Amino acid sequence: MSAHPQMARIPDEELDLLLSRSLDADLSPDEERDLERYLSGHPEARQRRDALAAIVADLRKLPPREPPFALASRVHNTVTEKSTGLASVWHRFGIYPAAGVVPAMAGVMALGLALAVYYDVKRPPVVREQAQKPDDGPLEVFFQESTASKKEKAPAVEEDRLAAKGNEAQPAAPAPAPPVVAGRAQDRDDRAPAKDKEQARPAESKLADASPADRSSAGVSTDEGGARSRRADGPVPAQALAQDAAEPARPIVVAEAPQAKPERQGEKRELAKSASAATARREEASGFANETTRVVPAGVGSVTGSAPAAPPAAAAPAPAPPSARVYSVSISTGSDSWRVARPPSGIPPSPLAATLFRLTLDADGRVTAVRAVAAGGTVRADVEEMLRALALAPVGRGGAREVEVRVEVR
Amino acid sequence: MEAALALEAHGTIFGVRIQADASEREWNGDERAVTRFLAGDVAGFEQIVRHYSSMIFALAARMVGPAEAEDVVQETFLRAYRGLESFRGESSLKTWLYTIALNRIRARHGALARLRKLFVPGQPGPDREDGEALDLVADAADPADGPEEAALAMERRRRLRVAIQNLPEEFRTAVILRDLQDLSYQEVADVLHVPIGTVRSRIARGRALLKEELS
Repeated sequence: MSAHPQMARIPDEELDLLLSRSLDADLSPDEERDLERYLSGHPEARQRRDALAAIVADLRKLPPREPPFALASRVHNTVTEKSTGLASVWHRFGIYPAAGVVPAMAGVMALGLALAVYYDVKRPPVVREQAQKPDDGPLEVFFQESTASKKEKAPAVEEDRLAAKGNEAQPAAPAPAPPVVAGRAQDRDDRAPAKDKEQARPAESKLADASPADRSSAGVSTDEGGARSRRADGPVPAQALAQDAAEPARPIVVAEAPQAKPERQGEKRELAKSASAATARREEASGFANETTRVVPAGVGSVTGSAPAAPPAAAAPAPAPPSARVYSVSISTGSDSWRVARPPSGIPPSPLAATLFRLTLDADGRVTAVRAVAAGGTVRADVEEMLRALALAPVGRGGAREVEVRVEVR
Repeated sequence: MEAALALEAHGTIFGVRIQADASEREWNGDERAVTRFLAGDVAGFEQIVRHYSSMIFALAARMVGPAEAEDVVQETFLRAYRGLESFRGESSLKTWLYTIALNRIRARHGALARLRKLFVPGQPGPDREDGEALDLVADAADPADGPEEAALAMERRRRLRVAIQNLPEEFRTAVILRDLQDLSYQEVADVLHVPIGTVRSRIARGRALLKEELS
């Protein structure tokens, strides 16, 4: 029987830790004593301790690596050099490039940049557009009214001017009476003498002369709701103008017949002509079709209100309206399979008879058939042409060959 | 004598040990050297380099081999030069420098090892061969030993070095810092930024692995 009570066996890993700490004199006196007691009762633990002590002794006897000659001087010189030179910029970010690496990297980057620029220029525009618009949200197209469309409307204004001059030249002739849109008889009568002078000036310059406060009485009426004026991209219906004129609180320009009242049939015709001319003038004065301020020239007929006529020298261009219209093309059904990759080249007519169209596509996303969802499925030829020019791109693997596209003009 | 002094504080020229001028080469301690450097005196940093470069080199040579050790030393002191202004003295300058050196060693060793594995699979790292080559020179046999004992001792040391190199990195670093660089447990913990208990277990585990390898 041993003099010491048998101690429980310590696992090898724990014993190694104790032995290692013992060799480094890291154990407390109590721990050291307990270890010695354990070792005295366990010869295999003593062997383990002896082997470990031999390893540690060998480790500590390993000769230190002698530094190369004058290492400290070299290091110090190098450090002071690099700390003040261009390389210090790299070292500041923890980069220690070997000699020649920086110029090589710069060359590779320059080459990559040049290639990227070259291929970007070479890429066809459609591809570039697709790359820029990866989402399949509505595609909005802003456009300015073309000068061609303005010129189309210009003859109407010119026609009015010529008509006015004709009136001036032949005041007594029973010419076809200018259209009567609406008006108050007493106003017309009161301002009849001033009419001839007013006719000599273009309506636009007069409108520009008037101060904003006077514009409403000088023939510029501001549409609060803007609903009708937004419809005024095309010819404004005469009924709408008549409704405007019928509102007693709002000054409405009246193109009147000073002497003779036209016959009923002629009145209708002239009414339509006057409305068309007024629309053209409005658009000419504003410069754009969807202007929310409706401009009605005061020079053709008598003008309600009492705005003094400003001298022509003070004429200034009308304030520029917002310079663009916008329409949006979006896929309402089938957007999970297709997206609009390129806007159509045309400009949709306004107002559109239908805004929702069902398109049949081929595998490449080209439009092969167009139907309106409403309006009996018929599509105006120009709208169909515009929609057929759409380019759709598949989302993922594409999928359904029919999509519904909404076209909205704002 | 002046030229010799400019070369190295404790260098050896033609077998003659050069004793540095005490006033110029005396180590004034970490705090004083740092204070001098921060006051704008570059000589303070030079003192630090001269005092610690050998230790850093020895560590780097053990870890990545002598071929790259000098680069590691330069990078370490370059970083120290830039970071000394932010050194707050929370740890000793010695452990701070060791930490920088170990970071540089890991960066270099990791990148080199990855490259070697990528291009030359199965080829051992450069530190093994270079290190052994240097150690053959450094392991001058004890003149008291006979030829047989000297050969056995050299073989034992060679096997030990190989065993050290084969240790997992975390155990190898702990063992080298403790047994070859003679850092205390607390200093090793400061250098590795781990608790002292972790240091104890890593050292014990590393030694046990060495014993298994060599038995």
